[in-house]
Amino acid sequence: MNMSGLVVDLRRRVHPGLEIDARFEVGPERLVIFGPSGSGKSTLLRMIAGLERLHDGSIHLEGECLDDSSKRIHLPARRRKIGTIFQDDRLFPHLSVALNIAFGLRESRTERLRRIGFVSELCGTSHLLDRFPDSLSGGERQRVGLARAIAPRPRLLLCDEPVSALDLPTRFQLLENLRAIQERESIPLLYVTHAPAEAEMLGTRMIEWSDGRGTRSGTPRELLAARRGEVAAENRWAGVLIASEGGRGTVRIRPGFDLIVSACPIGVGESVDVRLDADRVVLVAPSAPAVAENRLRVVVDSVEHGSDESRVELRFENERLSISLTSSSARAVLPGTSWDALIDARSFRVEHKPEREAADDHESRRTDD
Amino acid sequence: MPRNFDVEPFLLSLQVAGLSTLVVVVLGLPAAWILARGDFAGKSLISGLLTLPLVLPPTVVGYALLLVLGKRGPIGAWLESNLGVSVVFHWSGAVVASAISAFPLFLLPTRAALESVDPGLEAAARTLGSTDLDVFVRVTLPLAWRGPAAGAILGFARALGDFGATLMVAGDIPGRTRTASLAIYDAVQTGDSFTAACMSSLIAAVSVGAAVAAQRALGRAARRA
Repeated sequence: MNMSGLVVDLRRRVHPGLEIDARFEVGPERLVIFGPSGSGKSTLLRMIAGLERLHDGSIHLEGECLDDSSKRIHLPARRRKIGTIFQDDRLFPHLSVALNIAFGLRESRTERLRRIGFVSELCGTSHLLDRFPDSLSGGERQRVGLARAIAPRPRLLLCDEPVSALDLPTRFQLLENLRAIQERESIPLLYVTHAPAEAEMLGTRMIEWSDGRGTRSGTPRELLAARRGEVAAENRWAGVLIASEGGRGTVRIRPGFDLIVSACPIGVGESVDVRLDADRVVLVAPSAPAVAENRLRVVVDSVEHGSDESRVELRFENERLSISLTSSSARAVLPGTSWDALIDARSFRVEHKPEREAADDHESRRTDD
Repeated sequence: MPRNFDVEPFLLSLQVAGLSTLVVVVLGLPAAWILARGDFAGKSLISGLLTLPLVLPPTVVGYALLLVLGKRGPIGAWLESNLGVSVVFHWSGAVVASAISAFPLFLLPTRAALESVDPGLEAAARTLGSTDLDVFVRVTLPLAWRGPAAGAILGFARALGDFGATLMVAGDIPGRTRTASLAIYDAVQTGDSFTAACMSSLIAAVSVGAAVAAQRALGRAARRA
């Protein structure tokens, strides 16, 4: 068993549609759990913090048992020494910043003051100590939340989307703080988010999370690149560049199906691979006025609604097109309805297709004939 | 025409109301906390029983107390045989009677104020090593204190003016259990309108002051929330 970190092996039914089944370990690293909202990430953190009970399984930290359903062990939150940073900072409104940071400290007054000074320096809250939470900006509040969580020297730091309510520059500044502090103190850090940028910036390791369980684990860079690749690969056509003029190219996928692409360093007559990211397609009502180089009449096959993004599968002639829309706009898109898909020429990624693959394509086409 | 105004009943009323407010706060705070945060079977039933004195006629409350606290009542008999005390026809009976009448007036605003405190803040305090009592003293109460404060003031005013329940339990013994409200009634009965007016003015002055104070506390609590 990993004596230095967190070992989670638990199950809990959150509601009839969601069962959490988590098995992972966290060492002195920054592990990001990345997944859509409503997939049980926050409940998972609450169970680790001891604020909610698991139904089956166990949680160990530094070799100590925090929860074990078979032995009926449940260590209360106050005895776990786990720091938590919440999405809604949860600062105590009636206490000054200094008293908020000191809340979890049990040492003598001098030792407390020293610790407040030290963590304030780390988190950049030294100039805020006399202020009250309602006079702070969102970024300042989260800094205080961070200082308050690390002041009692926790054995593990849990972060529940702590920066999602902040503007972008503040967001990255706080993540940078968090990264530096974790490296300095080398505490295991568990960070849940649905934002790829946060995962990539903070995480040393990432678990992809969906429907209450981890699906893949790896470095954030690897996993996020794989995700992007998968999406692009779903819209991938092989064709031949048949015209190139004035920064525009025409790729013939098959007779009657041409795509207008922006200029590519490939000669006319060459075989090309055309890829399209799922989020680069816009739908408009059929024949509605719109400007785009490519306009395809499509029929909606299926819509898979997510909390932030929805995946829409489209059909046109014999081709398929997989796109993603924001969930609010996808609400209007019903299976069986017709739309025009608009695609800007710059949205395609055009690559020269290796000779061998191109030759294989020719082979198969010839046999089809 | 020089008259003697006997201030004794008013002082007794202050003493009775003060003590019963103390009893109400000591018992009511944990009760409000359990009702606000607890989740158990029979919660609405208990909550209903505790607010019953608000809707029952005071004489009915007094009669019920007599049955329970009288020499032959279950608690009264026990007190008599074990401690040798009797609260019936004693000023302590007035404390019990007015405490019970005042209890719901403390419980309701206190419970509402405790419920209005974000449970997320309490959870955050627990992750920082606080026990439940610690959380209550350092987080919940400082954020919700205006509710209990208003409740205590209202309860005090209610206890100060109690008539029916006190009369039933403690009786109307001059110099011993005759509180201000009873004294006013007696004064009116005997045609002593001077005493009735003076006593009424004193009680009214304290009650109006309490009502204003409670209003201010509750008003600020509402603005905070």
